Amino acid sequence: MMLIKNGNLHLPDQQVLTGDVLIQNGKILQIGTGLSAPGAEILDAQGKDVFPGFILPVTSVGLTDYANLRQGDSNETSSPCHPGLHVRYALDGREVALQRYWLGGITSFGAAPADGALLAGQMGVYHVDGATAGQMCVCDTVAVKGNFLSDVKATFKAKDAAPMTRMGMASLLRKQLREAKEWMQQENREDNEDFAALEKVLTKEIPLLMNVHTVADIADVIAIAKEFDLRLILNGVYEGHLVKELIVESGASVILGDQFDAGARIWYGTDVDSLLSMQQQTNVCIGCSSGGVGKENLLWNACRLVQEGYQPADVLDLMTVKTAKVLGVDHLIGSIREGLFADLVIYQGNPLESWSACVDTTVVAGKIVYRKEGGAVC
Amino acid sequence: MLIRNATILDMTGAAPYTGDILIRDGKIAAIGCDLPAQDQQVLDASGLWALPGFVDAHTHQGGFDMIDQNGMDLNEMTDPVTPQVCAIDGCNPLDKNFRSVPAAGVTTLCITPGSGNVICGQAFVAKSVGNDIHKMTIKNPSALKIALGMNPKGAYGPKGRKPMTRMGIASVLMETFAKADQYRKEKQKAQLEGTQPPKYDEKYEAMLPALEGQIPLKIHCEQFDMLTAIELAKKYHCRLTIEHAWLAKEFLEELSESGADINYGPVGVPTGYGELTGADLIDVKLLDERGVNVSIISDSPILSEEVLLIQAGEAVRCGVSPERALRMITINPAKALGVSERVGSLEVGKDGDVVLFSAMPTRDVAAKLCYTIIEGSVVYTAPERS
Repeated sequence: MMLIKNGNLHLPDQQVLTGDVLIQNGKILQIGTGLSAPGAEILDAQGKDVFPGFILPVTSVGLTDYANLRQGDSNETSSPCHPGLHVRYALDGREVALQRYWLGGITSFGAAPADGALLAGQMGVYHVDGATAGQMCVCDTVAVKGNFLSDVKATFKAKDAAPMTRMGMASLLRKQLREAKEWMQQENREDNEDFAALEKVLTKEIPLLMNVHTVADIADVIAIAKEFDLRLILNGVYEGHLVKELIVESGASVILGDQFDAGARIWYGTDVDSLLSMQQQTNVCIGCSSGGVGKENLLWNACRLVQEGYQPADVLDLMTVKTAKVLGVDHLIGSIREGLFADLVIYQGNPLESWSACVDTTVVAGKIVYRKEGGAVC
Repeated sequence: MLIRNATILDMTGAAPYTGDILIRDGKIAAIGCDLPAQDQQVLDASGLWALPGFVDAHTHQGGFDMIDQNGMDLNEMTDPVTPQVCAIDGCNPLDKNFRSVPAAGVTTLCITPGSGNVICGQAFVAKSVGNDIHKMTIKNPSALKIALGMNPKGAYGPKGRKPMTRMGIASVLMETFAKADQYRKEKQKAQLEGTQPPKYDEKYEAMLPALEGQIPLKIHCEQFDMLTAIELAKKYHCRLTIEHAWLAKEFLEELSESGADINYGPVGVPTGYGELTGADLIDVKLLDERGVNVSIISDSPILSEEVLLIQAGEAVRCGVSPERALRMITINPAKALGVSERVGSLEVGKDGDVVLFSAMPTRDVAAKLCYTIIEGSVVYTAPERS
């Protein structure tokens, strides 16, 4: 058992309580004031801010094989569609640990295949601590991840194979979904990992998460999702502000693209305010480059919104509870709430207010994974 | 232009003070209290912080089109030795990312060839606003860009051409410098003795300003490649700026002794092994404490220009004081680029390049850039928010 005492707890609905968090078996057991637990390890968080751990929504870190850059494990492009692949077989806990994400307040992340294939595989949500995918697991399968991007066209054009156009991508996506549907209706069906993954999407057990940039990408994906009645998460959406009504009407959740990466926001003229205004109607969170990012980037994306005039408490939601909602794991992570994983980051100061704020202690699933010298302990 | 009643942090080392800044003919004509307004444009800066416009010592603005790969104009990867190519000739100031630079508070930037070659070409320094890159330029060439490690290996290794290894890179570098230095000596001798100079060589000619100490070598390196860079600069008595410098914390003594300027960053990249280790702004704190002239760089547009200030904030998180962190994006890079007589601090006689913030930008995250002023003209005004 662990007891965090007297911290400024950033609770759901932007409530801040100076109080205690009791942790047992990796989960939050109780929140209150004046809690005691004989024998528990005690962390003194007096004068410190306790936030739910930040969530990096979509990344290929952990799958990239940085020791051997030329043959990473994130981008299977032997064919354009292989939704049955699963990140759990490629996730390298050592590579994740190398990033020291706990120093950036990040306690969990959505691990996803990279951007080369149209239907790239199944993604899960994992903790930043642990040696194996099993140990790191928050939720093994949260979505089938795909890409409706020029990257896909470029990959297969270079092989003189389909799809090399947007028409080709749309037709192939429809074909995959239609065939999976037919397979689902067969009586004695043969095992097929790709169709089995798409069955989860077609029955709305999990959403389809698509990387999209332009209006054309977004419109095509929404049209196909509607035809097959799918749940949809749109990632990137740099031109989404131009078709806001279409997105809202489709019911898709939205993960904002990285605001700094390769100048994409500037290139596409993204109206971040307009995208964030969709929060009234649908789930929206902030994200980072879906390739590799360091421990700093998620917080930078958050800080930029504060620079633009957003309130720190609203921005905090966009990288914790709202991210968890988008990924469908808000019953597991994203808030300081009884029953959820004890994923907590204790800051000296508020990093969305002061640049000098730094991590004091990071707790992942009830385990201290980082403690600053002289940090919370008694 | 007269900027009225700002909290001025001039980056000369003085504590912040309240005052006015008068800019005439593009230059700072006076700084003081209650300066008389004549017929200038007056900007009421009450409650705002006035700082010198930021200086980014390492960018590829206007030459790396990250979305449309047809616009990749700063990496001539057809020959590992291309000192004769000039970044200014590959730079398009109408590029969208370049256009966004003033909105990041950056008024002066060094634009350098990429790192695909061992000797990559000539870098230059320009102001961040204009349609004619030549008119915007304040120093050209400003440095001879060189690259060690993964980038040139990655460009030539797969082709089976030298250099495929770090050994190959060092060999290309040492051999080229030896020949260029020989060329320099022969040319000098011919001039003294009135004899026939050596046959004109565009590559060696392009290396003369660096060999004669007029401009520094600007060497892309991380980890122990820094020692190769120091060895080369020492051997040919060249000035040196070390670019990126990840893992500098392991070479503090050598770096400090070398007298090199360090242009550090960017961070916000995944960590791997070898060269992909140690991108952490804790390094700038350690270098600064040793008295090294250290700057933070954006490497824009690989990351957008705004990460210059954001990284200065991140340096504060790593323990650098807010004032020292601001030096790393103003006066320190101005010195490293050899343009500190014009930019980098607010002093009478220097260029009227000023940024006005709603609060101290390396202390308060919410500090908002309100105006960017270059040579007395407002080039960016923050949009009104609904």
